[in-house]
Amino acid sequence: MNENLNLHKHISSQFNDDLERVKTSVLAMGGLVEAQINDSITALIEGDSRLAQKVRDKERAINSMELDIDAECATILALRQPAASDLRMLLAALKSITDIERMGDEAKHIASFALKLSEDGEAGAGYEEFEKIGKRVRKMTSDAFDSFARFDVELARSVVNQDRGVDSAYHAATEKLLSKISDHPENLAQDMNVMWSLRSLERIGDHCINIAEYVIYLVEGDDVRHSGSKDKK
Amino acid sequence: MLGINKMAGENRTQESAEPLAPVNVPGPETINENYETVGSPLVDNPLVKCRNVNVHYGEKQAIFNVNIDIAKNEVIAMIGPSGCGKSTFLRCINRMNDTIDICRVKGDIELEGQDIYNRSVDAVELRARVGIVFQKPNPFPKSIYENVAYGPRIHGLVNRKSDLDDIVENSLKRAGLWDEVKDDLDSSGTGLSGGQQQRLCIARTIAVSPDIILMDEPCSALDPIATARIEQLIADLSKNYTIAIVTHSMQQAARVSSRTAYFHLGKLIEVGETEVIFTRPLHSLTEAYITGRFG
Repeated sequence: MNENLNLHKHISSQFNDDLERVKTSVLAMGGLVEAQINDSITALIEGDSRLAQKVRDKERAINSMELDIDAECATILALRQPAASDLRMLLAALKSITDIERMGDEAKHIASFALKLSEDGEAGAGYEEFEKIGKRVRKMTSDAFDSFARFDVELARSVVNQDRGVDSAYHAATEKLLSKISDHPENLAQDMNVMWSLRSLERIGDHCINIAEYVIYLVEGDDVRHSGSKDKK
Repeated sequence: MLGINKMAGENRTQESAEPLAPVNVPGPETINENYETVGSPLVDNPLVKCRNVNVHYGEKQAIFNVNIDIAKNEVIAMIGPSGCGKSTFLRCINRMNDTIDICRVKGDIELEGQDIYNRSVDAVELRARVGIVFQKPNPFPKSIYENVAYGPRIHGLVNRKSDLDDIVENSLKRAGLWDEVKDDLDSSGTGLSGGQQQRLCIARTIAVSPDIILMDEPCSALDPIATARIEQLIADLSKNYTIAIVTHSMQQAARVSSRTAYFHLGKLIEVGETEVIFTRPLHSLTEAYITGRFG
């Protein structure tokens, strides 16, 4: 093969290293948040207050990672003036870490609700639905980060599609829970904690969609966000 | 269960150690003799129309079957690695290659519908309509005034001294140099700074009211401040002139042009809106070049 067409690496190996470091850092941050989500779901279902507290304690580390990646991206933008796929990769990383950080916030919220439930007593309903939706959201989270790791557009599209199932399950679960609250309002505080936890799961799903859309932009250059509201050209 | 998930996260991080690679890396076959330029090389109602342009230096072919239009009042940047033919192609547009004995240009290049390589076309007249600014500022060893006045005078564009004065003043104003030299018009042009000399050359070029200005790496000999002034000047001039600029600086191409053409080994690989070329180019070779992946 003609050496001129050996396009797999930048001439600057330092630039390669810089981009790889950003990508690895995003995935490390994603891995940590994925574990936080898993732990928060388990903490709520199993009433594990120690695990819930652990999730809350780890949240600062996620915020710190976001700041580090932000700074690293800013440095690369200033020093390298990246273009095309390199630019898209950095933009996708910058956008993704905002969503990842918010996913971490939602995991912390779930952990906080888990703590309240363990202190105030279990709610009367909603755990089964929470577990089912939690399973879907865990899959979405895992697929979203995998799609980023592999630049896998098909997997990213599947994440977008998976959210419909989460949304419909969330609406069914909240309706059922509201009906239960209406019939048996004596456990209102506990039931509302489950309700807010369900909402956090649904929001984590939305953040997964955002990350998947950044992956599609990164790979294909097409901005598919808000595609339903764009004028057809 | 949780431990397994954590491991999955760690494995994913390991996967990321794979080097980033552009999608659809092309093989050599993608730029064979029958290649086609991707993107939008042609426009409606072009000022300059180039079809099947081939250039040889002796036995060596430097430009392969280039088809491109240049629209009126656009700034088009031509980029590519050293030796890709971008300067050679630029010089075809005002027949500067005529001055090189071993250079042969084939194909059609039209300026407002007129074949510029037709025998009836006077190359000197053509170069008044298609001005050029070179990499290194090259003012005449004459006064600032004479540098600008020379062109209009030899092309017979003015009869009266007052008209010539107006042209000199207007050209220097348009080149953003008037305020700096208006009190020293009799001083030598070669006594100006590098950036001022380049703006003097631009003033000299626009003094004969060209249809298009060619710029061959006009800032490569200038410092960042002088470069910024020239780039601002290009933006100002683009309201009234068509500009084709060859540059080694991709950031400069991105800043000053509305369309960008990418050359590779004498072939015009891709032409498109600059914004698109620098964010989502269509061809992997363009992608590889602008992301610095050529080894």
